[in-house]
Amino acid sequence: MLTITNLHQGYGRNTVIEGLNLTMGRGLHALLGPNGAGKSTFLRTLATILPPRLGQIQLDGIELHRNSLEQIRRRIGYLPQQFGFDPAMTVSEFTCYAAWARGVPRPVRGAAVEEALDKVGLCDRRDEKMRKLSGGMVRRAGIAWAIVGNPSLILLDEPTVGLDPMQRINFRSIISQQRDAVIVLSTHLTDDVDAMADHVVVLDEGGVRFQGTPPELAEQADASSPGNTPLERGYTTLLADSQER
Amino acid sequence: MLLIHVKRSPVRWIFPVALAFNLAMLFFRNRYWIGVWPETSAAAQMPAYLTSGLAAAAAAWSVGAPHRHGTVEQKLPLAVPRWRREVPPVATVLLYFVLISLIVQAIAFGLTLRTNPPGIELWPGYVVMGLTVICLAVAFGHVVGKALSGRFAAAVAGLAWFIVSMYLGSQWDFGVVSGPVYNELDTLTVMVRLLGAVALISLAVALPNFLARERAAVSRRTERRWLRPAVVVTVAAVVLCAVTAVLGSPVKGREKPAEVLCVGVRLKVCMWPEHQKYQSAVEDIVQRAERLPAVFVLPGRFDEYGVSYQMRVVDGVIDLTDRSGLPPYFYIPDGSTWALSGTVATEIMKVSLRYCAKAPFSKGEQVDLRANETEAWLEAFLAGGGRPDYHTNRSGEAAAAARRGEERANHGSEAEQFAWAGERVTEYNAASCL
Repeated sequence: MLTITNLHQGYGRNTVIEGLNLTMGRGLHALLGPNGAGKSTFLRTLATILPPRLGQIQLDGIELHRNSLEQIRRRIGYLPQQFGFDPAMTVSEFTCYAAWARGVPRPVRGAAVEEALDKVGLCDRRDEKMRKLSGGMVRRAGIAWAIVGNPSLILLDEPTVGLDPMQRINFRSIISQQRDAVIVLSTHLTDDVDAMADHVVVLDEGGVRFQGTPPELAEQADASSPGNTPLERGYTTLLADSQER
Repeated sequence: MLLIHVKRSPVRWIFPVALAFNLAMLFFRNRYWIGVWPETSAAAQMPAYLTSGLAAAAAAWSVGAPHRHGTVEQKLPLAVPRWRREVPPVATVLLYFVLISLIVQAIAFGLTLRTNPPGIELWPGYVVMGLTVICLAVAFGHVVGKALSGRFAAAVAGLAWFIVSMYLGSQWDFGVVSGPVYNELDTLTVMVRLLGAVALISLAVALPNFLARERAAVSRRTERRWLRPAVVVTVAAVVLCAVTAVLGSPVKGREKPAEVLCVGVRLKVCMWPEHQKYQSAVEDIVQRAERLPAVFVLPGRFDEYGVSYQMRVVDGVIDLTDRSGLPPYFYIPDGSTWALSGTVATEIMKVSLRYCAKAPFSKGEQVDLRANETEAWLEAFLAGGGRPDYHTNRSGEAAAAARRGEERANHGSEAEQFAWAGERVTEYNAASCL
């Protein structure tokens, strides 16, 4: 369970997040919002990269920024939008590095790597060099990076950007299986939300504009709002309302 | 984790090149070191010093990998702190270059071990000296790599280290080009230096990243995580560097040997036991000297430098204390026995020729030139013929006279040469001073 209370965040004099309150249980939470809404800043704050200016974040009752970072970070898997890899490493070594750096103990590290590769369907590619993987497979390896060691909070920043439709379908299927953790997935794509998310959070202007299930977001739709799907229309309606205010 | 880095590090590609370069440094500079422990040790240490720039460049390249690979952001929230994540790559670079050095050391060791001369105890100090330079280069490269993440970091680190290492080598004896038999390395000093170099690597690893892009993304609280280890290694490095500065150069003169290696009867030449390799060459010189006609007076005894007096280094200058009553000394520099034949020739001439005791110390230009020619002949004769393996600043007629003397040693029978030389000595001694 992730509980965020009165979170304030920003850079210099700019305030990006202001008084954000949110509770997220296990399952996939899609984070929607226009550019500049603070999605990435929010994810980086959850990842403990940025300390909050004000407020509290608790993961399973443990406050993120007031406890041993090493202990907390063992429970967090983070995949930024632009992630990289050492092209000389094999898939298995890449994942093993993530496991080591996340503090997975040596005796169980091998099993943790196997489990992660199994979950993303890369077991048969474990000895392949990262540089030889296709874009979709690289993304799968990225998910393995984020989930190895079974973190209880998984943060994925726009993970489907740049994937072709088939790769995106595969990605969704992999993510949909990860239900034991709180997964926060930032995206621009409402069809990703429709296909994967248990819950949706719409961020705008530094605050939560909506929190609910995808059908509940779809219910926000105004017939005149632009969009191809009910969810898209619900989202655009919400943002239009926000701009009018 | 170290194994993964060792297997995947780009240093593995330059490993064979660096090894070949090191071996070339070992064998193509010269080979006189084979069979003499202090020279072997110094020769085996030297490639590490000369190629440490590669280690600096590799360390800079290695620490910049997250920037080149675009993994900076995803590594920021990892549980294992940044400094611990830097350990495997820096250890990998160190491992490769230490391995190269140890291979070179082992080959040199094996070559000299075949003849098993005395003085093997001088070996470890030079090994430590070579490893210290590698550690310093890696620490330097690591810091440069942190300051400049671009692809130029490696080139900058390599070139800058080249300059720094030249200074350290010439001013602080962090590398030595040769290991004269009369010198040794102070164990305490080289060990403190090695520990200091390791502390500097630790400090380089503990230092925060200087790059604004990365620092902006790191919270102050995150920075505090490496504060304690950084303080510890900083204190250790400062203390060890201070002790290193106080201890000064590790190169010091050896105590005179308990036993010396002497050859000859009428002319006795004594040298360091470590120079047993040169025994037969020295015996040849002594035998030739003992065959000289009676007109040549033999001085009695020559000692190799450091054998018969206490040599000290005072403020970096060799101080030969109290040489009164001691025999003349000679060197075998860089394995050259010509230096011995030259010294013996000069000393024989000193006691055989009646030189002028008062200014202008001359018996006339032509007479003096003929004496020079005779001395050059004597030197070449004692050396067994051939040409000197060193260069002099003689010019004009003096050089021509020396050349004639050398030529004479290479032509004609020994009896003819002795007759000619005897006449020259008699003629010189008969001439009057100006």
